[in-house]
Amino acid sequence: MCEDIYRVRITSRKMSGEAAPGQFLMLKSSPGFDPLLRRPLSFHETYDDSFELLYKVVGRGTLILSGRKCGEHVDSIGPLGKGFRPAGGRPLLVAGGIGIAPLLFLARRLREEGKEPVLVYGARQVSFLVERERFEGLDVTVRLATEDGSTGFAGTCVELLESEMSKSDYGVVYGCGPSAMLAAVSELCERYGVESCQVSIEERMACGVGACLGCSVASSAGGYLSVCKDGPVFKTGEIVF
Amino acid sequence: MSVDMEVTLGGLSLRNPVVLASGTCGYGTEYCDLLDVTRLGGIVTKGLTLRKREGNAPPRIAETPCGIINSVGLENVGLDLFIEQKLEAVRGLNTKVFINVAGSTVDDYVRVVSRLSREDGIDAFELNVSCPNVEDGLMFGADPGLTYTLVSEVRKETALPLFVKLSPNTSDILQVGVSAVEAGADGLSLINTLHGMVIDVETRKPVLGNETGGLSGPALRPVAVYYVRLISRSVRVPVIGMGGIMSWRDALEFILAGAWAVQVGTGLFSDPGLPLAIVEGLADYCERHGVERIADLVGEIDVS
Repeated sequence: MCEDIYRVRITSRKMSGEAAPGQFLMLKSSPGFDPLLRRPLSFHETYDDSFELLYKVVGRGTLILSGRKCGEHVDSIGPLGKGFRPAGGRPLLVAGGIGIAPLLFLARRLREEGKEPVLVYGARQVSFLVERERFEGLDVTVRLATEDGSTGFAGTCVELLESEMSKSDYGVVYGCGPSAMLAAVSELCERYGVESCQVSIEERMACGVGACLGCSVASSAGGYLSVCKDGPVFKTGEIVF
Repeated sequence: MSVDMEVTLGGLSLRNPVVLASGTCGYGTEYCDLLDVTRLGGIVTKGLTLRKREGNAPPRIAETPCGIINSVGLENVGLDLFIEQKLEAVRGLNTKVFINVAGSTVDDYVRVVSRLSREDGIDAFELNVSCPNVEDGLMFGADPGLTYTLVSEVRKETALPLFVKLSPNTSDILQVGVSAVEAGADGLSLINTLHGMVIDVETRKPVLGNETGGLSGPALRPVAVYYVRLISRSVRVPVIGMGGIMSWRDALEFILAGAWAVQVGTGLFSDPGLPLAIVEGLADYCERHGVERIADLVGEIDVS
């Protein structure tokens, strides 16, 4: 879609029917055992018989995945984890970079429920703001931010989020992006008294089903939570950034 | 021809020699949608300590060439909550259950084993001796004398089969294994993970939150096969082999090297269907080679 970002459509009536926004699957980037671990990827959009994944090439697994050919069989396990939860009030979606991936499916569901979500979407430059026209196609109000000022607000999505929050009241903020960004989003929600702030967290995973305890995030109640089973979507009060 | 896949080790009879390794399958219930554990030889539960452990700071895992490195740090609910919350489900698994026990003093191990020996539905214990002993900081499994003391004290507490899981991070794994057997172990599991670390050169920081971790996966398989052969020839108790088993061929290497059973761990992450595929592959191999009992292949490496 742009230099490092890819979108793939995978046929599976069962998985697309069961998936909820914010859930993920564990995908083998290639047959066999190299790379050894599956890669966790969130559902980008679902259809009756298939679903889409949107991902950025960040390492060997995603690089191999990006080279797979149309028509090839892929091995995946899912849907897994807990997704975004319903909440009252107007929803505000905030994405940093490839954090846009799980928000399209969520935005469509919210529109189907008659909600009027606003999307705040930031990236380094305009070419990285992929899929924005699909949100517009859903009649979602889209606010863009680029760090180089090539389009929209010149700055980060967090800065744009603050200006958006200062203008209107929102009942729920759904966020996905880098950890530092989500920490800032959480802090803003607290400051503006947003009822519910939910963020989708990324962590290296091995099993994906809560068995290996490899993908931990610090819990605000002490100890750790598993991103794969307790998340990947958390209410920001549940976790420590 | 129907192949007899049953194996008996330390008085414990398994329906086949494929067992899930500790730390990779939780308490056996997490994988229930993906894997039928009743068709396996057994499972080894997540390492259990006397008191709850929160585990290490993330990141806890990283993929390495042909393996993974982890520093989970024995996160577990502790003995009391295990009995309260997990034991009932473990009892209902309808497969042989090995409880993996870890601790930082001899007393820690003794208290967990003596308490659980009074409970139904547990078939065996596996002692993780890869933990540092708080008294001198030395890992139990690094020292034959410490291992002997630990195993002999735990032995007094249980009549159930007692396995000791050996660490390769010692200068003399063979002597540690021999000491465990002299102290009353019914069998040995080997090998645990190899110490390792990974550094992110861009940030110059260790990739794991704990700096170092344990390496598992196919990268260490030849090391594990070697130790299984070395140790199984030197002790009179059965050995359970593990280390990067990703196919029935890999499992068979361990059996031919002298293992009575094998454990599958890291491979499960890649393919939850792997353990059953190994059972089927081993049975198929036996048929093709006219082997009536899988147990007849144990130690049958041909070095002529």
